[in-house]
Amino acid sequence: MSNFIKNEGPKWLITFVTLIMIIVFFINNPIATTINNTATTWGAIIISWLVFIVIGQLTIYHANRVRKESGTRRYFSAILIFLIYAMALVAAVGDYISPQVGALYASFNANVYGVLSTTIYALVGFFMMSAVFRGFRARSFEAWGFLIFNLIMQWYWMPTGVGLFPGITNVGNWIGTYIVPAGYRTFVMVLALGAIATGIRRVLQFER
Amino acid sequence: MIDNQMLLTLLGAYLSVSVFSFLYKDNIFFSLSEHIFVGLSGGITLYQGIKSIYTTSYLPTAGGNLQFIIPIILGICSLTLFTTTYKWIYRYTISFVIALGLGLTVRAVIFSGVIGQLKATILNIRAGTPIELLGNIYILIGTLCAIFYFISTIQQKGTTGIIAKIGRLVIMVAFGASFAGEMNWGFSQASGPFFTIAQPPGIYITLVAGAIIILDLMRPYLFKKGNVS
Amino acid sequence: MGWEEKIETLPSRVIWLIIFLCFFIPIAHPIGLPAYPISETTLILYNYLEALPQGSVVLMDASVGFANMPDSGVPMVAVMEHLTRLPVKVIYRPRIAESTLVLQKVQGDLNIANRKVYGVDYVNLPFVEGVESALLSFLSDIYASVQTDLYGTPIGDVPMMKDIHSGQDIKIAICTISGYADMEVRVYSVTNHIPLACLNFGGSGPYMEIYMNSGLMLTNLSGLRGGADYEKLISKPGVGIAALDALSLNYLSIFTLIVLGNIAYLRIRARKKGVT
Repeated sequence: MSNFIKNEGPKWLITFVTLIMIIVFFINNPIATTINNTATTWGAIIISWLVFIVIGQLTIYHANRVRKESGTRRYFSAILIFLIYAMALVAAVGDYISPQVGALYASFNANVYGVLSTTIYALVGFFMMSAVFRGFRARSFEAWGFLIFNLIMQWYWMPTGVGLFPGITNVGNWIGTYIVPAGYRTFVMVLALGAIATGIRRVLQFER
Repeated sequence: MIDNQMLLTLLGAYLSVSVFSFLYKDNIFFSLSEHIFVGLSGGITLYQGIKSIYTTSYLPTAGGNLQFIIPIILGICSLTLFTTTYKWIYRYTISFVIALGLGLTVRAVIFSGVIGQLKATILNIRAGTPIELLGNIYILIGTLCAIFYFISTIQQKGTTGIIAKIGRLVIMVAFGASFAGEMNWGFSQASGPFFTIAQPPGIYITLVAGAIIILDLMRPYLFKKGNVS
Repeated sequence: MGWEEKIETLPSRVIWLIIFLCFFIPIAHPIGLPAYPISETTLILYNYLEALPQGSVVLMDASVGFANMPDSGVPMVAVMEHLTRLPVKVIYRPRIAESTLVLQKVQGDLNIANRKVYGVDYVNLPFVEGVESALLSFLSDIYASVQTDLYGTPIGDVPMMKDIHSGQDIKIAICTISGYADMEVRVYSVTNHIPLACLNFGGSGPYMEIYMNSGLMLTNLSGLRGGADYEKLISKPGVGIAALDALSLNYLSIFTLIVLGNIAYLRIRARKKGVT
């Protein structure tokens, strides 16, 4: 009994809820609509509580780093934990107690946090370009196809490309409308079939 | 005259340049900026999450709507993840969330991912301009060949091998063409911080950082034996 | 060591420095490279919004943080400016925690509070966790999904929300996202039959074509280029137009590096084949 409640119970819950969600979608009935709406609202409420899991795990990991590691960088983990709760507190004070703090918080977000987060993601762009330079080599017949169409489309996406090669807009539009969908449509269908297969496997409890 | 706005802009520029310094080499300024970023993100997420709980859980229940008691209990049960004895209760919460997501995905992906795509692939073979007709035929044949490439239950040799190779070429060509747009994303993302660090007042921080990097690069040459005065 | 070997072993730092300078110089001092025509996908959205009857309800569904502002945020700012000029009602709904702050910042930058009446012409809704389930819940019954607006006013007391109860009252959903719009297509087009326009990241255009061709999506604006197009249409230059020079220079430099790299690779390969 204890094993059923601890291990098998959640699996049967998955089976039951997934089947209900699929069935109510295909039934045109007020009861089915109510079940559907209730389930999605319940989902929204439950997921909102998961924020404590995320923040809790982050706090525990960095607190362990402060305790166990040595060197200057462990203090950065302490700064991280402090900032999580300080930022939340300042936001709450700004929203509910002091409009001046609220205005400063908004300005801080726009001028400091916004720029910082943009820069972290900007690094991805830089790494992508060095990987592109290293990886785009015509090593095989398919790689030639990849490279040629990539170079053509680079001219299309380049804002001044049309000034240097006027016909590139029509070529690029044609490639985007016909060449790209032929490949991507396959992926969308294959991924969709994979998602359906995974769903069926989970419902029938083949997935552990 | 330095006001709050300029101070915040300078702070943002300093943190941005610290992050960019990682491109030169890993250093303590980058590490600090990284931790500050995660801390600030966590704070925003925590506050917005608590507000979301207030809006979706507290307000309806306080208004007498008790139908949300069960999801609120399931939500609170998710916190048992941090215990050892009652950790298994968390599985019920996460199972409900997984099942909901699975149900929502599977039921709609049948239409958007399969039927919609098949309709668009097959029904588009209609007479249009020669260029459009050529494109539509390419989509039909290319999609079929590309799907055939993924079928692993048939041995891909001889004729079937040629079809699979055509399918692979179609996929690679599609990836190549679309990756140029992905590069557009990479460049767009990378352009964001430059509006702070390439324009006053942030540009002064960038120039100072540039000078420090140049000095660091020249250090082996400046302090070679015989150069020290 | 010939030039081919030097190109093949070019350090990543050199490439990063080239990209950095290609951004830094044009943004610090605009060059003014030649312009290009506006894309059809941008015109589709612009014309659709212009044709909306007075009082139509538009849902601005934002799933964008500060990090995405230089990409999918650029068309979002331009579209929000356009919507402010039109006689339509706008619901701003954040889909991630940061979007609340982003939407408020953009509204402040565009001075929407002084140009439109809050509660009558536009409303800010609070962030609700849950992505797909929260969105489905919102579109099926707005009053059950959100109890108050962002500032704590009961939703029933917001004047414009008196006639808006579900997704059926929405004329078009404009989603600012930074990924693939499979979920949006499932929720808006397939389940709720609401016209959907996406303001997406730079590389999304070709992928979204498959949804546009199947009629599941009205149009998709791709990142900085789409945003710059829209800024031209509404005659309000912004980040999009300002960054075009940088984008062009970067594409030119990467194009040149890829071509040189491939010539070097092929020459080295030919040399090795000649030796063996």
